[in-house]
Amino acid sequence: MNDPDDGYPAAGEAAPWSRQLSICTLPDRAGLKVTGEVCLPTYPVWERALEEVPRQRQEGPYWLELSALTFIDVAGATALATTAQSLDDEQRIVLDHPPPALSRLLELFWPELSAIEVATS
Amino acid sequence: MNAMTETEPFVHPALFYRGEQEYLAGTVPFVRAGLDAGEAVAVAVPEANLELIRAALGEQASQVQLLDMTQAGRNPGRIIPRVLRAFADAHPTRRVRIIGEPIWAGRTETEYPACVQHEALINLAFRGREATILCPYDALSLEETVLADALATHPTIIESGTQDTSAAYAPEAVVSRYNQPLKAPGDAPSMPYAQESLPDARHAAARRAAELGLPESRLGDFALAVAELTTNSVVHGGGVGALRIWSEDQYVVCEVRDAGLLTDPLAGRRPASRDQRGGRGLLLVHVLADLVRVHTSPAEGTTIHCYFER
Repeated sequence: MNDPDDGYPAAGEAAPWSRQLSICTLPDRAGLKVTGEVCLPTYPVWERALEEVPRQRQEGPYWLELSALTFIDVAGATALATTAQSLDDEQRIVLDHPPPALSRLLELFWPELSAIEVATS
Repeated sequence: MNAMTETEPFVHPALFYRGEQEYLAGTVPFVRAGLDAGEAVAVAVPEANLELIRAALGEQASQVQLLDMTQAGRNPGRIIPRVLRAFADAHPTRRVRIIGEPIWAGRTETEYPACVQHEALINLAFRGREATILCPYDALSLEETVLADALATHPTIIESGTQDTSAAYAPEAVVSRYNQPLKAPGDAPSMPYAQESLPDARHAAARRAAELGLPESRLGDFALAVAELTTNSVVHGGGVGALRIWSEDQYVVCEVRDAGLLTDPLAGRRPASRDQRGGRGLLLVHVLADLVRVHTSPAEGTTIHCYFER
């Protein structure tokens, strides 16, 4: 939580960085770099990006580079888990630097989801 | 056996015990009978009582799932999904037998309404299921009103070795009676939110919780809970709501207030299946928080108080 404001901002006050989600393809491998946060206002962008994952037919796993993903809510984590469950047996999603919220949600609700791996490097 | 147990496979007796001997006499043979019958058996009671049962069971203790209820059931709202249904669902082909002691003498006045509503809702959550859940009540330490409520939340009562039908059984009435209005301290500022300001509300809430002394290790859970409650307001509660944060005793408390009505008494109390798409929001809040209190009414909307220990 690195917002410099003190006290409650008024509803609707701009904090543009917090409500944006941008997703771009990775230059060096199959996958996406995700920047911002996944919550109700940004959920449609996240869902659309995930819809592409099962259609990829790359060699090796599909990478989600998440070091700049600052938050994800349970609906966002559910969309990811549902995507992983829909993959063919040999397909894998690798999470690179997932935010703590995502690791927590996966551990609480999908502890045995083998199609999702977390990069340890 | 009364008429109800002949048609209803779910059995839910309260055990009123006075002292260690009655506790063991009421619980240990119950566990052994379950093991003898090939049932899956779990015991979720406060640590001291867990040790009594563990010692009395001896080697058989290894065949029983033993849980400290003051941890697993610290928030009574998660006992059904994460303790009782979790165990029952893990044994789909066997009858299950569980000792669950969610109410002990140390439960506070703030916790109690959530505890007694939980006891009442067990009946709804387990209707038609092959399960027995025995709930011990410490009749020497608990107040008379607590024991009177237990008569209303359990169809049968076991006391001094005798089992009787409870004439006072009325679980829906208990859920309504403890659906009590919730108040925030007057000086806790209110922050309105709508869909576009959900991230701001969450950030502000986490910042305030940190100022009030919630440790770093709990801030992530706190932010997740705030996100779910405020998102629920936007999606189900009329599109807008108001958030307040304050500290109370050892807790940081978050209040979310909106115009919605919670019509499903088991909302947030069903385990989510692995493949289910929605319905995890309130369940997540119950799992993460140390206590959740809810008030909902057509006239006043829904208020939820969520407690996180500092």
